[in-house]
Amino acid sequence: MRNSRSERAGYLFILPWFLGLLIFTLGPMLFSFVLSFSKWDIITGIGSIEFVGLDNFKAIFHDELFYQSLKVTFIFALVSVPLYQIVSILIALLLNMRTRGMKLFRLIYFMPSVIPAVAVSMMWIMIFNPEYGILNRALAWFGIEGPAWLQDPSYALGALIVMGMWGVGNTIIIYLSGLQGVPEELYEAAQLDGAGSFRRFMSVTVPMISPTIFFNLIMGIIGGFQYFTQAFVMTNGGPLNSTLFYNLYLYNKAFVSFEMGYASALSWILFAIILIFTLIVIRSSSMWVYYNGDDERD
Amino acid sequence: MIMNHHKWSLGRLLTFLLLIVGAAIVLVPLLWTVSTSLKSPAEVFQDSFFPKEWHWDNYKNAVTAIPFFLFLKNTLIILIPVMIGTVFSSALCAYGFARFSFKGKRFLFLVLLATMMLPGQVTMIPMFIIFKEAGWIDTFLPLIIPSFFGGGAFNIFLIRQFMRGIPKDLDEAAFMDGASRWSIFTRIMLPLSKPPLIAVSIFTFMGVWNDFQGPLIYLNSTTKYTLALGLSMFKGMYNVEWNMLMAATVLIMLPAIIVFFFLQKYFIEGISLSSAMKG
Amino acid sequence: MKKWSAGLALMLMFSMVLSACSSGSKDAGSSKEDNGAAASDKVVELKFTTWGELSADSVEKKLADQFNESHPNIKVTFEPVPGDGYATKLTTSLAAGQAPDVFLIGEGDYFKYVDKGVVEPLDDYIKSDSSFKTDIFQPDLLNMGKINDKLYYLPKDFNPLALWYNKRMFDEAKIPYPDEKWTWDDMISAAKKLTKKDDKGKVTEFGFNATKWEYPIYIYLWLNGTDIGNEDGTKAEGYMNSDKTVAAMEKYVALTKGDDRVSPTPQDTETLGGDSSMFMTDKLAMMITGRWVKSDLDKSDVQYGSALIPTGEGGDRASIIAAAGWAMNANSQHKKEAFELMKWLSGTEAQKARSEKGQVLPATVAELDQVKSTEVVDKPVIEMMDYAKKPISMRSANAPIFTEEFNKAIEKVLLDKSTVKEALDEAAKTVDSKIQK
Repeated sequence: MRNSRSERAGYLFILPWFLGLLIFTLGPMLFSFVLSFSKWDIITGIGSIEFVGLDNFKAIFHDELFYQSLKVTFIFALVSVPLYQIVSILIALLLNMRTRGMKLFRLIYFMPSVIPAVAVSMMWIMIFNPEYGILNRALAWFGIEGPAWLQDPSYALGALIVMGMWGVGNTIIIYLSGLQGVPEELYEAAQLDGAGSFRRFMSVTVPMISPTIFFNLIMGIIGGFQYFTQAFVMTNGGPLNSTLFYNLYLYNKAFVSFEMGYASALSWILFAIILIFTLIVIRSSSMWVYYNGDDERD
Repeated sequence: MIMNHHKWSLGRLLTFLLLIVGAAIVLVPLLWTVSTSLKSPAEVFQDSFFPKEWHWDNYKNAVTAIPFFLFLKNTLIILIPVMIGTVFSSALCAYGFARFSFKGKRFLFLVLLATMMLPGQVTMIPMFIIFKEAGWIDTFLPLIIPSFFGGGAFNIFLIRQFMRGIPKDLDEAAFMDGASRWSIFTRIMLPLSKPPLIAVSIFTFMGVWNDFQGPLIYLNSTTKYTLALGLSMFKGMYNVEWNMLMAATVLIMLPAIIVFFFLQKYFIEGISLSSAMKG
Repeated sequence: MKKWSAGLALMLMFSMVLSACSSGSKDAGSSKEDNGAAASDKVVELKFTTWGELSADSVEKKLADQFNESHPNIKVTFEPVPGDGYATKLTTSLAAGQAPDVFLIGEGDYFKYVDKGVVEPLDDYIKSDSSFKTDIFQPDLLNMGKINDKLYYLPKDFNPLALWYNKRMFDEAKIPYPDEKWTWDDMISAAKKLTKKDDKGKVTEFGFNATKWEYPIYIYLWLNGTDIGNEDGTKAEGYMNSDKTVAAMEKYVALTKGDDRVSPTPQDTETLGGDSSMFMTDKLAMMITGRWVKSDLDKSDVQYGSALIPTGEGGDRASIIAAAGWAMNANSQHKKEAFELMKWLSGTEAQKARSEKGQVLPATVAELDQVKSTEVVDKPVIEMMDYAKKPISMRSANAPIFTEEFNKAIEKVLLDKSTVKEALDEAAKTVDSKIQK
C-alpha cells in the first residue's frame, strides 16, 4: 500500500540516515573515487594530487601481488562465510535451550568477542606456536604432530580461518536474537502436527530466521572480503604472501608506501566485487528469505 | 527449539556435553589471558600455565600508571550519547525501511549496504578533513555526532530484518484504531524489537569501548584520551609489557562482560506475540 | 593539476558546509576568533609530537613547560601519541595539513620523509643563528640527519647496536665473557656451547639470536665485505646476490636451521615475547640489539653485560645507530619559532634531562663523555658508535624495494623453498627491474 502520506512518513523515518549519508559518508566516498584516477603521496598534503586517468587500474592489472591478494581473500571468504554461519547457527540453537546454566554458557561463548581484535591476535600467536603453543601440545596428547601453523605457507590461511571460529560470538548473538523472534505458538502448532525436532527446525526455525540468515550472510561477505586486523597483527601477509589479504595489501599501499591513489583504485575494485556478491544474495533472497510481516521483495 | 524441562534424554545429555567441550575451547585462551595478567615479567614466557606468584599488583599498576579514572570518564562521555544516538536513530531508520514503501526504497537500501563496502583505510583521511574543517579536531564530537545520523548501516540493517518478521496485522490494526505512525513505532515496534535492540546496544558498547583508531586520530590532548587509547601505552615501540597489557585487557573486558551478563535476560524471554498484543 | 585538487576541495567543501549547517556553525565561528586573538597578541602557537611519553610527568612534557616559561611569545603544546598509532596519526595529519610543527622521526624513515619533501632543511636557520652550534652533538649522530648534503634532523636520542650477553648462562657453561678480540666465528662457537636441548631434542636454551631484523644482518654482510645494494641504492645485481653475500647468508641462515641450530627462528622469538624476554628468562645467551633493551632487562633479575659486536675475519668492525630525530614540518606556519623549539628539544639541557633517568644516552659530546667515564655496561655500547655506517634505508628512497625482496628471499630459504643462491639471484633481478620502472 503505497500512498503519498505513507511515502512521506517513510522518508521522514529514514531521514537521519540520509542526512548522515550526505554529510559524513558520500563526500569521503566520492573523494576516494576521484582519487582512484589520481596519484597522491598522501603525506605531501591535498595540494599534490595529480590526475593520471586510468593509470592506477592499468598498473593493478599487471600487479602480481594484486592477484595473490585477490586469491587469498576469495579463498578466505568462500570458506569462512558459510563455515561461520553454520557453526553460529548450531551454537545459537544449543544456547537457545531453556535450562539452568544456560546463562553461563551464553556468557562464555560470547566472551571472546568482547576482547579487542589486537589482543585476540596476540593471544593466538602464542597458541599457534609450533613448539611451545598449547594447540600443538594438545595435539601431541593424541599423537599428532601439529604443523607450524602460522609459519607454513600451506597452513597459515587455514589457521586464521580456524581462529575466526573462536570469535563468532557476535554472529551467535544475532542468531539468538533472531531465534527469540520466532513465536512459540508456531513450535507448539508444529508439535501438535506431530513434527519431530528436525522437521520443526526445517519447517519452522529456518524459514522464521531466514531474515537473520540473510543479514548475517551479507554482513559475512562484506566483512570477509575486508578481513584485516588479525592478518595485520599476526602474519602481516606472510609467510610468502600466503595470508596477503586484499585489505592488508591496500593498507600497505596507502600507509606504508603512501600511494593513496593506487590504494583507492584497489578499494573501488573491491567495492565492485563485494557489490556483485551482495547483489547475487539479494536477488536469490526471494527464493529463500521469508518475512512473517510482509511479502515484499528485497 | 523448545525442550521439555523435566526429561533427561540422551540427546539432551549430548547437547550438554557439546556445550561443555565448546566452552572449554573458548575458555582456555581466556584463562591464559588472565593468568598472564597475574605473572611477573620474567615469568610471562615460562612454560607454566598458572603463575607461581600471583601479582595482583599488576592490576594496581595498570590503573595507576595512567589516569585511569579520567580516561574512564572520557570514555563514558563518548559512550553514553553514542549508545542513545545509535539505538534510537538506527531503530527509526530501520522502521522506515521495514514498514513503508516509497519511491527509490530498494535503491536507497542498496546504497545503505554499499556504504559498508568501501574499506575504511581510504575514507579515513577525507573524513578527517571534513571534521578538521568543521573545527572538531581534539573534541569528542567526531566520535559522537555521526551516531545520531542513522547509527550505522549494520545496525539499521539488523533491526530492519527483525522488524520485517513482526506480523503486519499488529501495526495495521493499531493504524485502523487511529494510532499515529509515531506511536506505532514507539508503542508496538520498539517493544517488540527488544532482542535486536539489545544486540545493537551490546555491539555499540563494545565498539566504543574498544575503539582505538577513532580516538587516536581525532583526539590530540592526552587529557581527552579514552581507555582503549590510554591502555595502549603498555605496548612500547620495541617491546610489549605482556603482563601489564593483559591486565589492561582484562580490565577493559570486564565491564563489557558485566553489561552482557545483565542484558542477556532479554535473550531468554523470547517474544510472545499474545503478550505483545496485551502490552 | 591545480583545477583537479580544487575540484576535490570543492567536493569536500560540500560535505563540510552541510556539516557546518548541522552544527549551527558555532564551531567554525569560534575557531576564527581564536585565530584573530592569536594574531593580535602575537603569541605563536606551536605543537610537537612523539610516540610514547604519554604519562603526565614525562620528560618531554616538562621540557615543553620549561620552554613556555622562557619564551613568553611562544606557546608550545606537547601532544604525544601511543606508539602503535604514531605512523597512522602522523600520516593522516600530514595529509590533512594538520601536522604538528615539530615531529619525531625514527632513523629508518629519515630518508623517506625527506624524499617526499615534508621535512624542512635546517641549514639556513643554523647559519643565521650564531648562538646555536651543531658541534655540541656527536658527529655521527649529526651526520645521520644529513641527507644529500643538507641537515634535516636534530638528534633526540639514539641507541647504538651492541652485543648483549647473559652472564649466568656464560658462567654455567664456564665460558669467558665476550671481549674486544672476538671474531664473529668466536661468537658462533661460543653460541654452540651455550645451546642446550632437552632429552627429546627440543632446544631449551639458545646461544645466539640470528634475527630476521635487517640491522644485524647488514652488519654481518659489511663485515664480509658486501651489502644488499650499491651505495646510492640503484643496483642490486652483484650486491644482493654476490658470491660474498650468498656465502655469508648461507652461514647466517644455518644458525637457525637444522638439528645443530644455535638460534631461535623468528617465530620462536615472537612467541616467546621477543629476544629480550627470552634473554631475561635465561633462554637466550647472546643477542645483537640496541641499547633500548636495557630498560627491559633492568626490570628483571637477569645478570647481563654488553660487548663490542665481534669483528669480521679481517678484524674490521661495523655497527648501526638507531636514532630518533626532530624534524620541522615543511608546511609549518611558524618556522622560525619551530626552530627555536627544536634547538631546545635537542639542546644540552634537554639531553641532560633525558639521560638523568638513565633511559637514554645524551647525544651531545660533553655529556656523553661523562657517561662514558662512569658507566660500565654502556662503555662498549658508546664505543660501537665509532663504527657506525648508514644502512640502505638511510641512503636511498629505493630501500623498501631492496628490503622487501631481500626479506622475501630469506623467508623462502628458511622455509626450504629455495637455496640461498637461487633466492638471492631472483631477488636481485626483481629489485633491479622494479627500480627501472
